[in-house]
Amino acid sequence: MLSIIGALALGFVLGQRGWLGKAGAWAGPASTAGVALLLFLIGAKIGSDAEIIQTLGTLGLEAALYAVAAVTGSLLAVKILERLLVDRLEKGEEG
Amino acid sequence: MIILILFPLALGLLAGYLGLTPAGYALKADGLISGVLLLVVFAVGVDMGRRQEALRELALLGPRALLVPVGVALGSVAGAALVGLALGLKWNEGAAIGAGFGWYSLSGVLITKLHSVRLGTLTFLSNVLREALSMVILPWVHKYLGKLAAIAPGGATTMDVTLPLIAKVAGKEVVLVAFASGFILSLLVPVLVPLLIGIGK
Repeated sequence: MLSIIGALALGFVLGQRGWLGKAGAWAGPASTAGVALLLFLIGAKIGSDAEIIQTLGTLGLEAALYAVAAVTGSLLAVKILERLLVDRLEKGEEG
Repeated sequence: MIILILFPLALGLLAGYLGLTPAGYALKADGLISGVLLLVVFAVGVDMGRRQEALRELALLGPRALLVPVGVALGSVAGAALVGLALGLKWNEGAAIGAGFGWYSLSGVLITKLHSVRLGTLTFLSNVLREALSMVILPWVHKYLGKLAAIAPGGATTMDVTLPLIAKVAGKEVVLVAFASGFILSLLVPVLVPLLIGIGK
């Protein structure tokens, strides 16, 4: 947690001050490649985990239903709150 | 963007499943993922620093940013509680599965200890699938529901593993909101899960 904030802050300061020179321009493409590598590593972790693969057969469908419900619920709640709060903020600005 | 997400994820799943990864990879993967994650987050930081409009846009998001973890917490728990009831569990058992917010290692272990191996395994698997699902649907969620909604599916994982992906898809200006949301939700997991399991006893 602290290391993530630290890495983000260090990168931000180095990028803002231009201390990385021309190398800074590589940050965008490097993060894209890094994201792809991360996804591969996460996929491989799940795929090589015998326990996950074994339980997918028996509990997979049930687990997927909970995952879909939690994601759908999150999206609905965020959109509802966003609408309520934005409406209120806009009314406040008018008054 | 969807190819950038699906292709490496599917390739990884396949490589892992076919045993093409080094022996014991599943155990060592966390350290490797953490290391790569730090490098990627550093690169995201450099990119943010070079383009300062990200900070100005964050200021424009303002108080709306705080509603994300609140919405994710309420929506995840309610959604999973409903599925639990439909599948014959008590509402609080389903709710506890949802309160893992994608942090599968912790929520799985907690529920295994506090309730049963079956519910713990279900929680673990469900939250693994949540993490994978949130990465796959991200481009569509961002396109049709917007920047803030794009942070919602990842739950607690938006403070680490899914953070660089959100930066890529939804833009640098939501990075701090995503981190804060994931952080708040991560704090809630060890509080909410035992609380919800405890209600039924």
